[in-house]
Amino acid sequence: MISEKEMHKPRLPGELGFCLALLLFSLTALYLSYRISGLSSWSSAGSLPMGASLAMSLSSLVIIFRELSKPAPELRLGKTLAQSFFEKVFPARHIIFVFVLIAYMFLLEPLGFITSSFLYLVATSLVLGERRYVHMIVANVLSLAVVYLVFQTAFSVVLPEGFLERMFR
Amino acid sequence: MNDVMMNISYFGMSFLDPYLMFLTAAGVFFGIYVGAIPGLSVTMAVSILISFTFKWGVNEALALIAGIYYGGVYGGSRSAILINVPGAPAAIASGLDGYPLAKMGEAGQAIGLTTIMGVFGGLIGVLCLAVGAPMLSDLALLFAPRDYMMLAIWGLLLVGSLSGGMMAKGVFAGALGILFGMVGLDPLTAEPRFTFGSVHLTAGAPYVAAMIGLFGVSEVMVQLHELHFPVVKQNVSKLLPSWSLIRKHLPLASRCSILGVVVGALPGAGGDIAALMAYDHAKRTVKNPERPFGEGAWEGIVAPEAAAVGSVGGCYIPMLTLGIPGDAVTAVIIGALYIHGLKPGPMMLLETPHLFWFTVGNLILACIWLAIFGFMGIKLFAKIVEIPKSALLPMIVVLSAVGSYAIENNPVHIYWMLGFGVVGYFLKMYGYQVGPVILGIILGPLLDSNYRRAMISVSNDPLEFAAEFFTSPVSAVLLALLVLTILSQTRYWARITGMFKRAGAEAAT
Repeated sequence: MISEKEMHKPRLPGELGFCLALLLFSLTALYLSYRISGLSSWSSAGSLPMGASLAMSLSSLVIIFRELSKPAPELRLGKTLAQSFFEKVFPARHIIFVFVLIAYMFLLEPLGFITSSFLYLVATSLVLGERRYVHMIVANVLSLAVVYLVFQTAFSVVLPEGFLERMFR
Repeated sequence: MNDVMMNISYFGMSFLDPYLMFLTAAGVFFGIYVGAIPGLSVTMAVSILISFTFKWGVNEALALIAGIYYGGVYGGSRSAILINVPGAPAAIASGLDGYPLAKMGEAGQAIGLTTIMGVFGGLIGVLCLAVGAPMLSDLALLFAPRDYMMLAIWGLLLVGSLSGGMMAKGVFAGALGILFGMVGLDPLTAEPRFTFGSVHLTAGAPYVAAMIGLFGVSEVMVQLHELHFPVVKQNVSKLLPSWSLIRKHLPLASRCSILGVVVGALPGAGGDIAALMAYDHAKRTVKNPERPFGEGAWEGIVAPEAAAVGSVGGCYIPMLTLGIPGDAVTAVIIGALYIHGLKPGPMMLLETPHLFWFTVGNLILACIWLAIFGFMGIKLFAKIVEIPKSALLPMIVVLSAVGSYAIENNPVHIYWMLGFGVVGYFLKMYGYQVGPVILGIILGPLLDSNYRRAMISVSNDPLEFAAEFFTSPVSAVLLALLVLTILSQTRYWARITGMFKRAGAEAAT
């Protein structure tokens, strides 16, 4: 249930746009579900997907309707909606975080687990404002060593191998 | 007779096998820290661990997970008491009186009392599981496909609505999960659904990667907003509460444990709701607390703790007997059981009774470890909770990435994880919950097959399908519960209950 206080809280920047995007997604899903087997029978393969995407579309409409009744996002003087979105919801720290993670994903296989994870940990710690460099490097090396040993021995997980892993073998 | 002996031997398995004993202990120990560190959740830990443990035997994996589950639910209240930051949603209620107690210098006693009451609640929970599950399992054999369908919908609605926020957002999240659960070849007709011509997708959406993304990466991204939380040093000395203090609160703890089990057994409602309801129950029933609620009442920590830990046993009941998750953690555990080729449901107790009795024994073992670790290592504990987030969060991401990779040694799963993580982040930021998504992914296929079987059994006649909801007693009861749940979320409900309350007040005067 939604409280009175929540009703009068202003929308977050981008909230309405996000809800509209979800509605669009739901309608696309509804169309794709219809394409599975049409309205051929009540128990066709597409019946539950259609039901689920219909529920999504309808609830999105209700949500958008509710959001519209809330006050518009509070903008600080001279800021556009986009600026305050990147300030409050998706700030630079988050964007860099996601890009570093993408880089890590692509480096994991070519560089191997230890090297790529070490680079990732150092990069992210820096992004998050860690400035005690020696402390950071020692802590990261130690924790990675523990993780690597636990994975190899207890979980017998196959980790991507790079030159470092081959050296240890 | 032979059966009973066999069951007892399965029950004792984790007590006799040193390796299982160790895994349960390790799980509880690790779980207490995961639960206590704000920002790490049991759901997160269990989802990441699933991808690592599926090469293990099923008993080993279950032992570790049960330990983490108990430890995590219990550990949350530690940081709630010590630093006023609940480590897990289930611990919000424990902090209301726990932190005032800590400020008065009674943190040690408070932790001691929550440990004893938590273990007590936990044992009652397992007892209810051992007695209740076989009974429910017999009853479940009477359930028709449409009843399972309603149970699944009920669970989705409960998790979407009880955990706070807008009902429409809960419905959206649940339906989104169902949709993801539909990706792949239709099990009945082998028609492809949402596969977009990709061979990879015919086997279904990678749900473990989705779980890790939604509970690991997206949570980390939310945490990035507030990297610092105040560290308050507490004086933790006397741990063991006096016997009279324990005895005085045992009746309340028993009531709240039962409440926890019942709430836990409801599909979709778990420890967090149980704890808040128990706190409310204590507030209404305890007339003369030593100190008022909110200012350090012992009752205010006993009630939520007994209920939260008790709910774990309750959550296992629908999971093992109906295949329906009691909360987000059990949804993830069901995912783990699927990976191990097991199908939780009414046949599980008949076909694999050893698994059930093993679980019961293992949960009791976990409670015993909880009692042991609860009184140990509090000093060390305080240190670990103080690990800066800037070191902790990147490590969680590394574990999440490797966990996703380990599912099939395939980097594609990491892309899925990141995708779900970013989408989950925006969902969370804008007040949607991700718990219903996971429940939807697990319940979607169950809902699909049961709905269609029910429809086929009435030869696709929607009128007859609808009529059966009223003619079968089981279906009628479930339908009534479902309608009540929906009604209770509307404003008419508040008006009706308000009317009754006014009438009651008038009658009293």
